[in-house]
Amino acid sequence: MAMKQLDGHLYEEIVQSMQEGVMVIDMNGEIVMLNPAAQHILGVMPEDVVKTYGAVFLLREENDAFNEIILNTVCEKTRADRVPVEFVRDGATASLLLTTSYIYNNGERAVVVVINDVTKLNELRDTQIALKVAEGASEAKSRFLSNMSHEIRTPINAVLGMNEMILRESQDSEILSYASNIQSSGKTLLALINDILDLSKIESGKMEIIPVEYKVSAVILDLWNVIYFRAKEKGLGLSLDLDETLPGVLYGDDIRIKQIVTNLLTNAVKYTPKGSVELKIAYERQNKEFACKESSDKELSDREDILLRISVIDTGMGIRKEDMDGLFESFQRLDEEKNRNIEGTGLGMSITLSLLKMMGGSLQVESEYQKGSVFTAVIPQQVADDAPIGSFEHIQKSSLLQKGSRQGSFTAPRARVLVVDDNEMNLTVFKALLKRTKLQVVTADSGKQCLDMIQKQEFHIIFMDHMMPELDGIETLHAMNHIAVHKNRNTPVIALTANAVAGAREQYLSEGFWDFLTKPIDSGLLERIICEYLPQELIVPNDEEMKAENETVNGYDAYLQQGVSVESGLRYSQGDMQMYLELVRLFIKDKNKMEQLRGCLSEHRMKDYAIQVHGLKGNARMLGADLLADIAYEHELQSKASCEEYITGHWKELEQAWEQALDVFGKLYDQYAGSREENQKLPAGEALDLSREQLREMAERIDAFQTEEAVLQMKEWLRHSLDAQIRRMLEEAVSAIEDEYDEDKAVALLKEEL
Amino acid sequence: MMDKKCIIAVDDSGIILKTLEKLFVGKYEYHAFSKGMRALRYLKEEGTPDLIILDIDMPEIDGYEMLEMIRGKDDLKRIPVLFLTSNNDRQHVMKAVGGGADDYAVKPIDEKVFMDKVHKLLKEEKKKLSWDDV
Repeated sequence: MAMKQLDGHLYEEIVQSMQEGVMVIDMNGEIVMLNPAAQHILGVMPEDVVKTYGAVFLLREENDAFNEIILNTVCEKTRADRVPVEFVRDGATASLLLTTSYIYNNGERAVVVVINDVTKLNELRDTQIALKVAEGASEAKSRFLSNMSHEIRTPINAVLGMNEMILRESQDSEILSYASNIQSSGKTLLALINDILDLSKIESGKMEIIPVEYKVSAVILDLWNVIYFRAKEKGLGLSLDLDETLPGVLYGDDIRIKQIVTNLLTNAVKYTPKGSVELKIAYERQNKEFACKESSDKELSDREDILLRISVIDTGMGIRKEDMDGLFESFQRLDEEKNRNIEGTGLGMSITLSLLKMMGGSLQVESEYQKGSVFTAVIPQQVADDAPIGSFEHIQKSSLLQKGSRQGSFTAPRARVLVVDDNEMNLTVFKALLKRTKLQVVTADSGKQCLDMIQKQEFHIIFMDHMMPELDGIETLHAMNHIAVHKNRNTPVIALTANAVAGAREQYLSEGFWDFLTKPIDSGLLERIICEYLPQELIVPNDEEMKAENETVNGYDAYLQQGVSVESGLRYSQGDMQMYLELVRLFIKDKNKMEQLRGCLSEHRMKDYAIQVHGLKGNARMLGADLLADIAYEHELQSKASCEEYITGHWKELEQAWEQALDVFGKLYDQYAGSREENQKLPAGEALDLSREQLREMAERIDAFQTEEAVLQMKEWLRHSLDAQIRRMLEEAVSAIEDEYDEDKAVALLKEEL
Repeated sequence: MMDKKCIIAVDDSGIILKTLEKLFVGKYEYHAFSKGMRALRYLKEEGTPDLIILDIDMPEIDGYEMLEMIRGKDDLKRIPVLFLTSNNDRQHVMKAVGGGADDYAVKPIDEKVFMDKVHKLLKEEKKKLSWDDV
């Protein structure tokens, strides 16, 4: 549409259609024109316009500012350009922008006022400002949380650490009982603080669910260990009902799951004066209705979903129906009077519910007052490994049983570590925890001092506190990497922090740390980390403990009396009892040895005797039959020198030692592998008649070095019912190959049958 | 993917051979012989291993004789040979090492020391080849 003279009608329509308010006032202050938008903004009805005179308008005191602007323009004082003004209308205040200008109408001057309602715009801006302020507050809260965390945990670290030293070193039983009380109170305090910090984290939205692949058996064992003593102390029965088909490895946040179930278990124990507590673990498979195989995200579609149902069933006080809802309020303790003696802040349930919600799970409660309750945590999880978990007894047996001893498992006197922390108490605790390992611990109280020391001395591990004034742990680490020459370029640096938030591990690793430990420092974890990062040759395992274990648990002393050191034999089998027993079995089978030796002796073949007895010596030594080995060695030397008289005179000695060794091995075998013999009796299959052709072919195969296939075939034959002589021959042939590595003998046996 | 290296062991003690089997299982292809003659036939007919482990004192044919026969064959003379010996034979072994064996290990076998030697010998083989080719 070209720019051309528009007729009056169009102008009128334009003004009437505008969303901005347009008002025209003449020199008398009378409203000449008020478009619909202005009517709407000013809250003036069309009828009023006819009646309203500028004078009336201008009398509304509440809108002085508004009036002033218009007056100024009318009186030629100033023109307004988007001046903001507040306008009151029907009790509500609107924010307006006024723009004024002149027109001449029939020689007469009039003022045009354009009104923009920016109330909403202002509200939006205000909201954004408020949001920024709120975010700032949230940041401040997080910083407060982590600082508090650090501030609170440091002195607790000191208390628990020093108390641990008292428990380890004091011999006075009264002092030990005091220290024991300190420990349990200290642990309660730590648990309380952790609860408070957790709840704060949840409320400020900083709590995260971090899924990982985890072994369910480890979780169950931890839970069991946590609750076992508490239940037993109170004289409560404790049992576990585990669905053995539960997949063994799941994908989820195992730490938070443990936290949830621990809360339920401790509550159950707390509120059950007598009776029992049961932990029940069940699950349901979720059917994936959609064809996930079509999904391009292969990882997700491979994983199945299950609903984990962990129930805690107790015979405790129960909950009244009326009180059920109140259960979930923070700090609320039902039946206040009755439960006043029970410790705890009651925060646990609130945390539990929040965590469950975050995981997409829920809590189910069934309870009967005075009878007992069932709390069930229902948690969706993904399956990482479908292989079933098995029975609880099996889990317990395969776990490494820690004796909970205060004894250390190793010493490392030649190792030197540096620990950097601005807090003197922390340094003292650290040194004390490592006292029993005999490690040389050097301390530095600042990042600066650390940088100084690493240039002077070599350390095997450096422990670096994160929060330090001036130069913090991370800055110090970076500075270390920039120093051109120092003796600790390849030294592992482990971060120490009171602040274990989500993503901490990744953060520390990305900054260049090798690993990290949280405070208060767990001495078991500390020792484990040291074992992991120290060069192997510096670690001296605690032999006394190991020896004591072997001797008392297994009673090898008796065998030592008979000239056999089972300990030595085991050592040569890399500590593997199964392997040791297999070698023992071979030795027992080789009865011919003595016959052969006797033959050499009676036929005066001293050279052959020497070779044979040399072999016997070697075998005996491998199995720890030291007495036999020593005697055999003497025979070897003597027969090599052709001293037949010696051999004849000392033959009985050799024979006796050999028989004694066989006796010990027989007992050992019975003790540890008794069931083996039964297993070997396989059920006889159908009858099989082997032809000479088959036997000949077998012999040829073995001759042609196709030994593995041959053995498999013979074992397959042996699964059938065979002629007794053939069976015996085949068994001998298989044994000749597998145990004696003498294929020629096997071939000979086969050929004999032809 | 590279094939596993192949190790041959000859020793009249089934116990030693089984112990070696446990050490090598899954890591190397392993063939064991308690009779030297069969081992020699294997070497002739079935191909060349990457390492040969020989006991010294054996009836019929002993370690030294076997070594001589191995070193006498073109296709076998470059294969590393490791002697197994009891402590007291050390002097004899030192002599034999001069005659072509590459190393020796003492019985009863110390796993770490033994496996170190095996690893070294399995790697050295390549070095030897390049020298001889020159």
